[in-house]
Amino acid sequence: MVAPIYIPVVALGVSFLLPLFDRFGKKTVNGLFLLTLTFFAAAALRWLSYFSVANSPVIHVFTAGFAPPLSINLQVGLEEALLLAAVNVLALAGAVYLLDHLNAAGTKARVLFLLFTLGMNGLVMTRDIFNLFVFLEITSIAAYALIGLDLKLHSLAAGFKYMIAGSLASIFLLFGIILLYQASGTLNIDGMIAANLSAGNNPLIQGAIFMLFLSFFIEMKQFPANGWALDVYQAAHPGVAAMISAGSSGAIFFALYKIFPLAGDSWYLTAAISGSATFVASNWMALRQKQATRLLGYSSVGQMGLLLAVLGFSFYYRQPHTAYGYILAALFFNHFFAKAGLYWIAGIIKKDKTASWAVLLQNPLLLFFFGLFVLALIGFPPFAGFWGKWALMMNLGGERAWYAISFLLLGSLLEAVYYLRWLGQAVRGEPEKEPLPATDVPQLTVTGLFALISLAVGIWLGGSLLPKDFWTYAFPVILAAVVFLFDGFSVYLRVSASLVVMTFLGYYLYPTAQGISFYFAFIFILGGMLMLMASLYKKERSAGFYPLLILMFSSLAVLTVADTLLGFFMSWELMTVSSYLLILRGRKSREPALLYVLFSLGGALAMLAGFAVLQAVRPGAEYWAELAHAGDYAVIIYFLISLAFLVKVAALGWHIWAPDAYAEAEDDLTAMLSAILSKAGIWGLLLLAVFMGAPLWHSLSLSTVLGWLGTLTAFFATLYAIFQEDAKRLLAWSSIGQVGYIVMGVAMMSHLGWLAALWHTLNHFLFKGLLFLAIAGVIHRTGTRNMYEMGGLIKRMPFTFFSVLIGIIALSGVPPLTGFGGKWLLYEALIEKGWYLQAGVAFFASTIAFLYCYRLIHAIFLGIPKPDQLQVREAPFRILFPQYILIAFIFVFSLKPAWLLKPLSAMVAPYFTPTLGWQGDTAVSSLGYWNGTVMMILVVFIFALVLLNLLWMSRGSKKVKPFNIVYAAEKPDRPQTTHYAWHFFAPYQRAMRPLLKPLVRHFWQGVGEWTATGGSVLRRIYNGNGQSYAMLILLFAIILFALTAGA
Amino acid sequence: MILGVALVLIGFWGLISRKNMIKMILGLAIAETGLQLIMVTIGYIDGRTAPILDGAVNTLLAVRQVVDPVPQALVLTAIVIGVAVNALMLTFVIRLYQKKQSLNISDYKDLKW
Repeated sequence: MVAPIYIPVVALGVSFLLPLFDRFGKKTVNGLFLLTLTFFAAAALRWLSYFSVANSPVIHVFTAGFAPPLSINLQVGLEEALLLAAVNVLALAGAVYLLDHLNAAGTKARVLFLLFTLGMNGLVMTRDIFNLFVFLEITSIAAYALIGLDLKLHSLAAGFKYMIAGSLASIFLLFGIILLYQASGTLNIDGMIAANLSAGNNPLIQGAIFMLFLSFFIEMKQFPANGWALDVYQAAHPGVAAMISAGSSGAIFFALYKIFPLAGDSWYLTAAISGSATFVASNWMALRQKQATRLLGYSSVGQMGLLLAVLGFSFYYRQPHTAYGYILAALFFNHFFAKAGLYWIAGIIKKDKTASWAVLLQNPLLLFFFGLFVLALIGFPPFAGFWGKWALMMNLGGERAWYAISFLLLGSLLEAVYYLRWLGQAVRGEPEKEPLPATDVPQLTVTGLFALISLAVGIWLGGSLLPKDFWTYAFPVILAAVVFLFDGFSVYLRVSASLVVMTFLGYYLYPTAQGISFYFAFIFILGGMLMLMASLYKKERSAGFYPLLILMFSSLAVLTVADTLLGFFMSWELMTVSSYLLILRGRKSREPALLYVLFSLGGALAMLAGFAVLQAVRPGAEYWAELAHAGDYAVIIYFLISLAFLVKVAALGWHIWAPDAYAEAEDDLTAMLSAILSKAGIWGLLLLAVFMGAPLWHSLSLSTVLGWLGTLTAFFATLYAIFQEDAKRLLAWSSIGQVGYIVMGVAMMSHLGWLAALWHTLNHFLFKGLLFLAIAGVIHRTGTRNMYEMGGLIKRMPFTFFSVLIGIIALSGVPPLTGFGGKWLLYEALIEKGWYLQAGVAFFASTIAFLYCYRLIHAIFLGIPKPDQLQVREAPFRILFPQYILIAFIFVFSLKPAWLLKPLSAMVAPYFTPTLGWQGDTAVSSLGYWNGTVMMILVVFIFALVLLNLLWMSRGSKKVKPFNIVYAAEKPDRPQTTHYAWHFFAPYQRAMRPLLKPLVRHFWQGVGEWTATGGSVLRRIYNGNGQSYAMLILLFAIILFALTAGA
Repeated sequence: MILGVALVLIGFWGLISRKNMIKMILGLAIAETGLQLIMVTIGYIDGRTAPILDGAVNTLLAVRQVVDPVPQALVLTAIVIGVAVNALMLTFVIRLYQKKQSLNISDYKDLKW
């Protein structure tokens, strides 16, 4: 193992040697340069492996042969080894990335880079506070010079601003150090900590500590003293910006971490406040930022704020070191690798505007890395940020730090907004005409390396947090990875592989899922497999489609067996991110997908907050079952957690993502979203009800509120559905409304209510899957979603027509099909419960539903065929086949409802006393009875009579064809206006106008607009003037003084 | 000590009141000088001699006869670093002047918000 002292020795030695080697040519110099950095990285990794064995003694190096305080000492323990490994790997990778840039500036640039690396190493290792100052200056000076190296106006100006800030910081630092020396008589950090300086109220010492930490807070780029940092991140070469954002910021943070015990109590809270403010403010100000590297700068600054805040909280709450150590490590390394990677990508594609990042589409590998880094920074599983976020929130919840929780969650939501918008721009932006610059292989390699490290660190950290059932929760990711191996082969092979892994998952989960959870797992897995088969109707599927589908279905399935809060939350996030990426594949789905993921993420963060609140009542709560003991906090916990589920079921108020997302997603995906994904929210609401019941807010039961929410959702969504021109939007609104009925059923908290909900869950899966698939087939053949552009397709697509017919009968709830059972159960339950008003509204809504059902089948299949659709063929067999399986299920359950209702009744029985009895196959409730078989026979008989009568009456009538209509030489400029299928229910629309105002949409638009505008006003403080930045730094000093004095 | 603090404050004033970049650097330099003065003052002990071991100082009693050498060593380091930073800043100013023919800090506001 290498002694740590060799790092500075070798760095300095090689720095002096490099100019001498100049005469041997560029290759020799580069070789020596990279060799030195490799040596550093290897040494650091060796230390890391040494310390990975528990209880390895810490390495101390005493210079000049004396023990401290007489000499300067270096120390390498586990924490230092971690940091050194990261910093030196970054230095090596960064050097490879920057090699051409450095070569252009001659040997001295490489010397600068070595000194920069030396400075970072020194910051991590030294235990002497003056030495810390020296290393800080070495790092800073090298950084200034590296920034200005390209001699561009912007880099020079930014570098100058940085130097002003750096000089101010170093004046404060030196001032603090010398005063501390006077007070303690030592420069050794351990000696100072041992002297416990901050305990006394000596104003001189307090002043010294103030200076010291003021300086470090400026170096940590705290709001508002951080304008210079943004300019630097924007203007510097992205390779250099990566080194500063990840490397030197990280090393400085570690130095601060080292000396933080010196700060007194007043500083702990101050750090938490300042850091949180920086985190929220920079993410807020970044919302309107369009310049890619500056956006990354805002995010970097925000992450530093987050780290400082966590450091402050850890000391403020005096937690055992390990609890927050884990969080700090997770957040730190998440930022470290992902941010460096993003800067590197920015340097490779050389596009200033985020909107131009669609150029990434030309290089799928780079796009993949970009996606990984973005998802890591937002904190999706399995990346380190996710685990850090979780552990942080649970700890803060245990401390009842409500402000901290809300601010930090707000900040991370804001951060997600701009990152996800950016991801959308890259995946679904206007394709760039000019080609991507030729990719440099070493640059691509180091970027990929960091993507891999990000993943590995995340998985490793997750493994330590998820000890129980690790494999169950890891399954979705593993299965998706397996299917990913088949990408590039034919669609049939990919679907077969997907079906195999889904079967395997079902087999694996079968023993664990019982009762209601088995029912949902059944829908998620078998439903998923059916939809996978349907997806075969398109012969071309781009890479990633099936892995993402598998990720979505399998994380849904895992949700049903997740009994831990963390496991549930993780699967929930995996489901969210996979469905988001799937929706994003639609051609015009950039905005809808963004809306979907932001609402989902907001809901998920609310759920996280709910879990955090639980920690205050039940410290260390891990299981769902512990929600039963929420006590006084039950209402707020129920409210927060239910938000996540309400977003997923698109309940009124949180529904605005749904119509667009359903409409713009790929056609078969829409079927999956509506039929399967929306049930995740229902499952969540059921879980919540099982464990928390119906908490009372004063005298108002939350389930009553939920019930009304479901009722109003059903009513308004149905109302909107009838006025849609687009078949998919019509079905989307219908889907929202139908799920509203299910929510009503859940909210009733009774045997019949839950029976209705469960029955309708399956029923909705069957008929909405059927309808969306049938419509997907129609769109596949006609190429349009607008119903008025179709007509008379019954002759061309009879099988699809039959599907839609069965679908709308099942939907509208008329006998004899399954829909009737759902309605029957629902109304019985509502009346039994005494919710008469809700029953009335629901009944009215389902009457309106007839209108859109009629419109759907009439506009598409009946009437006169369109001239250009006379030769349309029937939908492909591959999409018809799953439809007829669904139809078969509908018929089975219509004929023999008992086959489904009896097991369902048994599933609900543990929670509520059954109020539904049986006489043979006839269901009997207190209000009536229902026998599916008898009803089917009756209805079929009556239907046959009516049909025969109709046929008899219409004999001899003349069939109208398109050419029977004459326009009298007039060609309408908007042909649809002459078609009655357009604006079908115009009179109703006029009548209903007051109810149709999109108030919710306006509300959310207002929220978005005002937030973005606020951030854009706030960022005006960064006016670009170096002098103003200096004033902001002095202003920050005053604020900080007030904060510490106040605390 | 008081003089040092005064110099630091004057330097800060210069930094935030002068538009000329060279004058801003001078402001910083003045503040640094003030700080260096403070550092030396802190190490000074009345009635003692320079911390150099020669004939005038008894080696064994040196600890009681000389002033604290540590701040002096620190000042030397601080001066060196200060000079380096100031020189680098001046270099940047020269380069900036070559680009835009202006020494006014307000003319370099292209990067903002």
